[in-house]
Amino acid sequence: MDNQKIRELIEVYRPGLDDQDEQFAELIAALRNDPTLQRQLDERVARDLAVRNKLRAVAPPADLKARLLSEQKVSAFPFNLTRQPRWLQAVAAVILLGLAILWLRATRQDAFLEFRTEMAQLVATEFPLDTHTNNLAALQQIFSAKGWPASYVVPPALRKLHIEGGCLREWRGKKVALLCFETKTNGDVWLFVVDRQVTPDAPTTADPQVTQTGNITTASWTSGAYTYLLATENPTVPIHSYF
Amino acid sequence: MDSGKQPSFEEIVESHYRGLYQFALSLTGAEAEAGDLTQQAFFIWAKKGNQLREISKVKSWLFTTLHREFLQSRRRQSRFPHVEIESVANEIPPLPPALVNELDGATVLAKLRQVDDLCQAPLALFYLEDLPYKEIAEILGVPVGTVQSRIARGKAQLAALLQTKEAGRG
Repeated sequence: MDNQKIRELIEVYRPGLDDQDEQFAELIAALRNDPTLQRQLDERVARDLAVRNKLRAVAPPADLKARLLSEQKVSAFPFNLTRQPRWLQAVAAVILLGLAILWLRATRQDAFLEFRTEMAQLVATEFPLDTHTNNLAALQQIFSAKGWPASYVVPPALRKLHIEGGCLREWRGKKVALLCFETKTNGDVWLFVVDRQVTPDAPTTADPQVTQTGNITTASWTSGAYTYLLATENPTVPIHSYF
Repeated sequence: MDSGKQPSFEEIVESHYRGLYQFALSLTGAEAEAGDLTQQAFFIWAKKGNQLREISKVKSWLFTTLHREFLQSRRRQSRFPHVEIESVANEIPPLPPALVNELDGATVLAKLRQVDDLCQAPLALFYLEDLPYKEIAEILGVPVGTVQSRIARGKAQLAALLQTKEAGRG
């Protein structure tokens, strides 16, 4: 190491603090054998110490600490879970999991009610059919080709009605098949078919449960892989007549 | 601060607010702005500090944040040139410690503020905090060699400034 390099390093070397820093290893070795160099270092350290003491004596404003602490109380989330003991993190995780399950259950319990309500609202309004056909089997093939529920079973009484067509609908991102039947004098009858997993709170039996939703009468049941919702707007015709 | 347990916000403030304020003051030269910068650093810590994996890095994290906030406040977009220690030719003028002892802290701080902008932050950290050069480099976002060259150059400038008659009158 030449004298220039030594002069540069001696200006930034801090005895004690930088002793493990490899870039100062040669300088430290040189200091052991060179009293002049050691004296230069001592003078520089004394000079730095004087400046350091002056700068470190500058006091912050008296109220700064209080300001920092009060600011934190109004601005920061006071509880940092990641810094809590593991047992507390575990308890929190269990509580959160429980809340999530409850929320999921609540959501699932409401699923069929919402599905029925929204489908009733749909048929209460004017909406176009995607497919017009008088062939129930053809409609089923179209649903199948599109990947929509297609392995459904239409109740025998409903089969006797004239099929007008159908719709591919989505509800909460799930596929719903809609069949539209036409009566001669009593308006339209609609059959919704959805995977039973979509509305797990729907009636689980094949016995239809009848409900009035506004002007729309519905009957719902579950059979095989699907949940069915039958809807009609004519109150003079018992919905049971379509099963 | 006990390194074995997670420090509270109050403990972190207690340990670092003084050094942060002094660093901020050396950068800005204005008490109010230094207080604001210190407050901003702790504000960001309160919001994002939980992202820090190693609690031993709190000090560096705070100083880095404060320095970054300072730079943003100054809207310095250009990157600082990289100057290696070998290129520093400044000789340190003789400065007796007794001369420095006659001055008050505010005067020394004011002189530090007159040093070349690029040298102020490294020099302030050199004097105010006993941080390894690697950490100073991380805080300032420049190579270690650049940190050391700026410190050496800043010390030469500061020594010259402290010997002026204005400084002598303190």
